[in-house]
Amino acid sequence: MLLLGGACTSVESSKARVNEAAARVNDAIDASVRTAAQIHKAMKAAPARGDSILAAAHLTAEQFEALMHRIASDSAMSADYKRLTQ
Amino acid sequence: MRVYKILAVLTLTAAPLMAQTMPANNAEDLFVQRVQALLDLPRLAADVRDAGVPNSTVWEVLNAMDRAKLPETEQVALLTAERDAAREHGPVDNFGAFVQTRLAAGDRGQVLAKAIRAEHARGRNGSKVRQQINNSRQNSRDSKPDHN
Repeated sequence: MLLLGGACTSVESSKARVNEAAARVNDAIDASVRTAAQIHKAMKAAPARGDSILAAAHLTAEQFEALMHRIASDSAMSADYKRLTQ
Repeated sequence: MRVYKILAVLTLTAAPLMAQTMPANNAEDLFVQRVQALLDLPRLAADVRDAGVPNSTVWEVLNAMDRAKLPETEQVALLTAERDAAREHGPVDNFGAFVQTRLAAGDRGQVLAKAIRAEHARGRNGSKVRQQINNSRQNSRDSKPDHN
């Protein structure tokens, strides 16, 4: 019984460690990539609302264009963007 | 006769109205298309890298497209063609320079996509030829009589 209890505690602590690691990975993602991924999701859901979605993200069309080009040029950022938008 | 009159009136009034609204719709459509293409650009760049194309080459291609002022929809078409060709045949050497040359020559759209596919197919054939040469060299070495 004690052994079983110990195993459960071990599983719980492993889960907690995995969640912690996932949170660290999420924190490491550039904030601009996360913004771009959120815009991606919103615009794919409502393509005609592009203007208002960009306005909500406090971005002009030019800033959005520059952001997407910057992410595409950077291997780590584009990989994060791809993962977040899958 | 009355029906024809109604149709004629409708045609005469609807045509100018449609002409007025069409450019606005087109501009809106173009904006949506452009935004959708921009949203796909980083994902495609990542796909191209994942297909084995070096980061420096992807960077070179993105810069070349930017310098050529290629519309976003065409940038997406180019990267899609490169991703698919690289997945099928593997990456080719000097791809960045190849794209720069083709863009400078004025190749766009389907012509450019076709040229990319052909370049990759040539790259693969080149590898095959190199492989055959290496194999025949190996065979000739193996078949040489031992003079010792």
